[in-house]
Amino acid sequence: MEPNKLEQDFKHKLEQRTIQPTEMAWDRLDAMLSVTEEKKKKPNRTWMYMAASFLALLLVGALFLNQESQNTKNGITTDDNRITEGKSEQKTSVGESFKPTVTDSESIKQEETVAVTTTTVSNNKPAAFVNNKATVVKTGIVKNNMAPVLNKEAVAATTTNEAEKVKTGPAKINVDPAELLASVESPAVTDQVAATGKPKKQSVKVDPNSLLTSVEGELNDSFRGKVLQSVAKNYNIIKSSVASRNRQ
Amino acid sequence: MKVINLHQEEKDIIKLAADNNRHAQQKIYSKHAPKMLGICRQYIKDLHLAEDVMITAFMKVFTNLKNFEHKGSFEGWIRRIMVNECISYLRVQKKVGFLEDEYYVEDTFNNIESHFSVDDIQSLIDSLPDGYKMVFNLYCIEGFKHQEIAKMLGINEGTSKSQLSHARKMLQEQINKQKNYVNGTE
Repeated sequence: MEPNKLEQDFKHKLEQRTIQPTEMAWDRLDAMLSVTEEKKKKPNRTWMYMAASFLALLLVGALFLNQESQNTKNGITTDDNRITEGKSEQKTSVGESFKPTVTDSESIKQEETVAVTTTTVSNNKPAAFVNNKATVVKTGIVKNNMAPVLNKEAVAATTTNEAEKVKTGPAKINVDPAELLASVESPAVTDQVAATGKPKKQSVKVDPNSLLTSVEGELNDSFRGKVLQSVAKNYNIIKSSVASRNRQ
Repeated sequence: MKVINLHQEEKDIIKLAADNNRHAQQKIYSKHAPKMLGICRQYIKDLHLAEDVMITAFMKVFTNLKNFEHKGSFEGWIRRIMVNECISYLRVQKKVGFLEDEYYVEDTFNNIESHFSVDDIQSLIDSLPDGYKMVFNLYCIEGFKHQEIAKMLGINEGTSKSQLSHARKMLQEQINKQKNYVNGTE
């Protein structure tokens, strides 16, 4: 069954044979190769897109996680802020609440002093202006100078008016009581002298420092109570808000 | 030195062609296409169809160039791809079947003086049915063994032998006819 002589001759001759392909053959092959190259490129692109989208997802995920962690941190910070805000609010509210009490106590003091004598209006004035602005004090002085009313009702009216002013105006505690007393006292006395014709002696001597300290002591007590109340209230508000946020 | 240089040059071209360098691919095509078309023509009677099959086979050559390990000859590798493509074409497109018989006779094809031209040989081979032609080409021209042919065509070794026997018998008859015709005209 081995290839014989004739078959060997066939083989030799056929192996030597060449047939020139048509010119179109290469063009067709070229086109086919181009098509397969494009096909090959497309999956590569899709792979790139897939990789890119995967990376984007990873990034988004990482950012989201970071945000989550930051949120938890922020939650604490915002809580702190709230607390500080609450504290500041408390402070302000305390400041506000401080004023009326001051004026109230002042007005009470004034009434008491007025009840004792009608000439102590000028003495009471500095105590009433303790927590007022300098401008308020000045206007008060001006008012006193312009209307030298010495009866109790008028004094009460002015003190209440000024108390209202105190309520609206900001607090300024750093006022030297002696100076105020002196400044208010001197024009009031001169006015009284001018009106009555003879100088009036001060029957009651008020120590401005002791008056101020006693008032401050009272204030501190009521102030403390209000501060504690407001702190407790704000604490409860913050607590409830944090709890609701955590639930969300 | 010249042979080494040529070998290196071929290696470089193959590398370039593997990287889709169209110029290198064209070079390979221009060098091997005529011979490969001859091989395809052995299996496929229609030259245009043979060319189509050759183009498809070259496509496979270029897409699989990276798998070529430079162990054997490059031409042999391309040739093998061509033959496989031709067989695939005949089996799939022409639905060539093989009669499963194991009848074969000993050679009656011996010692005939050959004065045939390539075209004569081709016309003799063309006269064979596709099944016989395939086995004859694979065995006598490509030099495969029956075992390999059986594996390639998915048939029994005996079937391959019987196919070859039938092909040889047929060719003998054809040659005898031609001889008689020539003698008769003389």
